[in-house]
Amino acid sequence: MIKRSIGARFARIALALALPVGLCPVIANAGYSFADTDYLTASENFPRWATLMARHAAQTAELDACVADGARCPSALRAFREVMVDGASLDARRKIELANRFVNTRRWSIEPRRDDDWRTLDEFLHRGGDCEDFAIAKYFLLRRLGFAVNDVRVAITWDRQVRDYHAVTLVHFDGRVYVLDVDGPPRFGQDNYRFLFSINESGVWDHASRDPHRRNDDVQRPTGEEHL
Amino acid sequence: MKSTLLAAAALTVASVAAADQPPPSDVEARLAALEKINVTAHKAQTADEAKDPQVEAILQKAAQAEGDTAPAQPQ
Repeated sequence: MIKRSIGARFARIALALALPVGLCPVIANAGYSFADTDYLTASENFPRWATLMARHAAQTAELDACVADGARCPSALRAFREVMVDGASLDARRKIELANRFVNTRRWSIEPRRDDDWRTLDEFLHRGGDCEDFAIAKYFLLRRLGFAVNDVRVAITWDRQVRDYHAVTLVHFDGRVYVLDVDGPPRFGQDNYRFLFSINESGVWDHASRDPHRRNDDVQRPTGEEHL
Repeated sequence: MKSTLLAAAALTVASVAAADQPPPSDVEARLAALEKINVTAHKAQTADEAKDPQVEAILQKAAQAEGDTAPAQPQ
């Protein structure tokens, strides 16, 4: 009788400990899903991204030549070459950390609000950029390091804390979604962000239109007020 | 009289044709909304990152490669 009671108590404790551990990945990924439910359209229909991709395609030869032969690297691309050559043999988790840390050490250059262009990896390595340029540079680095197009996206978010639009890179790896931000290590989820759109070479996903908290108007508002 | 009727008919046809123009699709409207966003949030770097030795070694090599080619700083 005593033996049964101890056994039952042990089973209850084990269950109580196991449940939260088992639920952790679900909770951690609650902020973003790579599911296709919010798919909006092909990314070539989004002019800003299509223009970016066209420039990136035109600059790929320079990046490739630099990786193949260090003597053909302009000074702005030499660090990039080391990352590509030595990073190729790392495991996926380390590649994520490498891309995140390498880009986060680059030059931050604030662009005028009315002239906020999106920069390619090549342009970013030469001139730096602001948050979406950091996110785009990580996207292209991860793609070059071997991540599949279906596993990487650039997300446009509303940062509730800063009260401004922000951009991060999202990586789907090992059943989890890593958020690569400008201010620290890869994270599992980001409570301060409301994910609005995400983009990669294959599509645009519209998370805001399905969001019950979305506002009805699409009128541009001044800084500090969300308009989606 | 005849020209008035013709003008009225033309106006009617024109207005019907205009009404038949499809409104911008939801996709176009949502893409336009995305296009309008200026992503400018600035966030300060934090130094709380755990450093993997392999990653650290590559980053140091990268910084060295960059430093080798950087122009000399004025004294």
